[in-house]
Amino acid sequence: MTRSRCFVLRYSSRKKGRCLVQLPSPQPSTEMNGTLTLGALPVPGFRSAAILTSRPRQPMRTLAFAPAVALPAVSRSLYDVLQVKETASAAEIKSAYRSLAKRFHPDASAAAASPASGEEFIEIHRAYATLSDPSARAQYDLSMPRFEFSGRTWARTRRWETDQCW
Amino acid sequence: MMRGPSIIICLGVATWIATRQKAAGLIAPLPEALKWLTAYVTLWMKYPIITEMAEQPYTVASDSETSHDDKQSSFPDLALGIDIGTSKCSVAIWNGSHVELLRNTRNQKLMRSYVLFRDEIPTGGVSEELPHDDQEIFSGSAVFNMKRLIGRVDTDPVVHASKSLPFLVQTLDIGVRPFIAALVNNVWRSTSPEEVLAIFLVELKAMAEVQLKRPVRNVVLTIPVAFSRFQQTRIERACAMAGLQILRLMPEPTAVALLYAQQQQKGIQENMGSGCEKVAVIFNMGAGYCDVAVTATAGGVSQIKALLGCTVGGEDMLQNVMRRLVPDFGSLCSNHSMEAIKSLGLLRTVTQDAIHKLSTQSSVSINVDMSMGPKICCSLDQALFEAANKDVFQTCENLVRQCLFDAKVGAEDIDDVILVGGCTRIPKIRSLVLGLCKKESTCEGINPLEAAVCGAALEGAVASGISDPSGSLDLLTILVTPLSLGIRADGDKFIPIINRNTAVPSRKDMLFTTSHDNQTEALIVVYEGEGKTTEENHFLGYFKITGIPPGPKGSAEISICMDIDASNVLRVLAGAIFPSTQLPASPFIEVRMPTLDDGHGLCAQALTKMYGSSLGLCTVERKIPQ
Repeated sequence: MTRSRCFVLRYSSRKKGRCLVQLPSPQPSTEMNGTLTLGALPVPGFRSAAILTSRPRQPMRTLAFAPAVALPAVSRSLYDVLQVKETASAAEIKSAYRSLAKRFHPDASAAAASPASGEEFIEIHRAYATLSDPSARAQYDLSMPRFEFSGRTWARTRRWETDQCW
Repeated sequence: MMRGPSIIICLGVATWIATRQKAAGLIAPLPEALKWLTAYVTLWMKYPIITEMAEQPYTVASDSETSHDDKQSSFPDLALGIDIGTSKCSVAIWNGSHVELLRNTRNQKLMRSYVLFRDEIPTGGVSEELPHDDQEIFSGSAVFNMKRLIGRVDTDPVVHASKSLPFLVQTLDIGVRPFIAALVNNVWRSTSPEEVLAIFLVELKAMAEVQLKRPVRNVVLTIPVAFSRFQQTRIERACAMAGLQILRLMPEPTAVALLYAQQQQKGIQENMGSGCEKVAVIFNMGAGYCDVAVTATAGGVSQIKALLGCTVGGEDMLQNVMRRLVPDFGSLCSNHSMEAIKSLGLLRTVTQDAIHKLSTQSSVSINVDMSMGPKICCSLDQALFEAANKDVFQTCENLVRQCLFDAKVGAEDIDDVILVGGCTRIPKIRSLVLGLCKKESTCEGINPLEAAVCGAALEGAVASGISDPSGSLDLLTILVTPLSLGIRADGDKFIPIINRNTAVPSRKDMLFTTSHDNQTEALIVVYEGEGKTTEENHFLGYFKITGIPPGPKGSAEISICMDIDASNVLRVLAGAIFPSTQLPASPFIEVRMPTLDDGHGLCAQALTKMYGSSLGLCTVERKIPQ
């Protein structure tokens, strides 16, 4: 009888919960606020960018814990996460964040059809947190691994070493 | 015909509730279960229509033009929005084109929240033909203000302040749940805030079922910002007792933010205006709680920038004024004789009335002849009222200032000020908030008493997966954590891991180390709040991790990860890692919080007494990566 459905008692979670939280990152101390202090940025290079871009995970761990979504590769920049150009204005970054949130936030109506686990949103929010803060964005831009980008990017960008000479 | 089987199911459910409560450490003797049973059966007798409706299969409405009623049945699981206020409750639902508030048999949209234990069957008076008057409600037989009492221990100042209420609130000050009782036939009969709330929710549910002509199960509830996660579990329990499943628990101002986002969206569609970002300050003050939120809205997405709440409300102002009127108010409250209750009830009615009038008048004369205590004949004016509540206004001011600071928003950035809740009718509160935000007037088009429930109904529709062709449900609120979450470390300090105002879902981790040489075990004690020391914060739970590699103190690395998932469930994952390889020394432990049941004040003391600092943790200085 349908009526009995109404009295089903639920103490469990409202949505189906994720099965497991992943292991802590190898550099948790740098991860706490999403941004680094100045002292942590002596050399703009691949490694520090890797720390900033995303939580680096060792392959064996990601395998072992099989996260719900494909984790972004280390080379994926915060700009890529938000799907904006590196020259994007603050307003563009904000609106990109909003539209992505509408797609990936677990509470969003679009996500209701296929419940998002929240992993994507955490990543998007982390990117937004850095890029929406002018000083954090400037630091991040400095630490970007320029040599990985195409010549076009390279030609356009000034690096801080060269800035000193100008 | 259908009634027989449903009663049997009822019996089963009632007994199950009883055993469940018992298992959870809640003292629920058999008579309690019987009381439940009778309550359910009465509801069945009252609303036979519900059972008959259940026989009808749900018909999915065609996508062509449908009538009003058909629209409702086309989404049978559409969640209700419920705003349980300290003093008044309301229920609303998305009806296909807009939010509609449900009315009770007395045609009221806002129903007073109380449960009267006069006869064998407790009643919340939602569907009664005649309303209960103040005299009955303040006679000691009714329990109200459950939202202020739920999930609090007897050392809590809010519980102590509730001792002036007409029903019995007894405290032993040892950190257990307070004893709450209603006067039935001159005997104090015990109950609990959860139970009272559940009885009231059963009535609201029955009312909604009659009107919607379908069973109701899913709900979105609004809660105060100041609610701890432990209090949220108590609300969940009350809902489970009432047969309701919570889709979301929304802090009240965030529900208002959602409504505001929808209105902005609508305005843009109609006027073809620009979709630029609007910053709004939402100030919500009801009878029990005061909340502030700063939200940035654009394109139907409402991003909460900061949330802040405290347990100050109209009830405090009422008590402050009563204290002014009657010098020996304290002794009148502690004396629970019939006569004292009656006098106190009379005083409460008169004072409440005077405060309400003071919102529009400059002064009110109070004439009350109590059988106990002095005869009061005086006039209450704005100045006197403001003097009596100086501290309350100061708290409100600090709250707004702090919230604006947290949101990094200046008065010049604010586009709108939204005032919701009954207390925002008080002239002083209005001028105070508007003054701090440097605005002349409040945002138009938002009903101060209905905004929260409308937002909850919108969220109910969004969370039920309903999409609206006109795009008016294309909404999202990006919530933040209202309180910091962290653990005890460095002695008795509270170390936050997830800070206040962090967007959820969220995950943060932090490294800790041992506080003693060769320490192989550590106690992870989880707290929620803003205090520097653990005592000032809400205790959520604890667990022990083992297998820490022995070594001098400070050498081991213990990683603690806090994770708030898509359903707002908090999990804590902890374990020791080898500093060299970053691999776990032994399997990690994952615990869903809060783990505690009632009596958590005692529990914290027991942990300290038993272990002291022997299983303590210390924070690690941040290492600079090479």
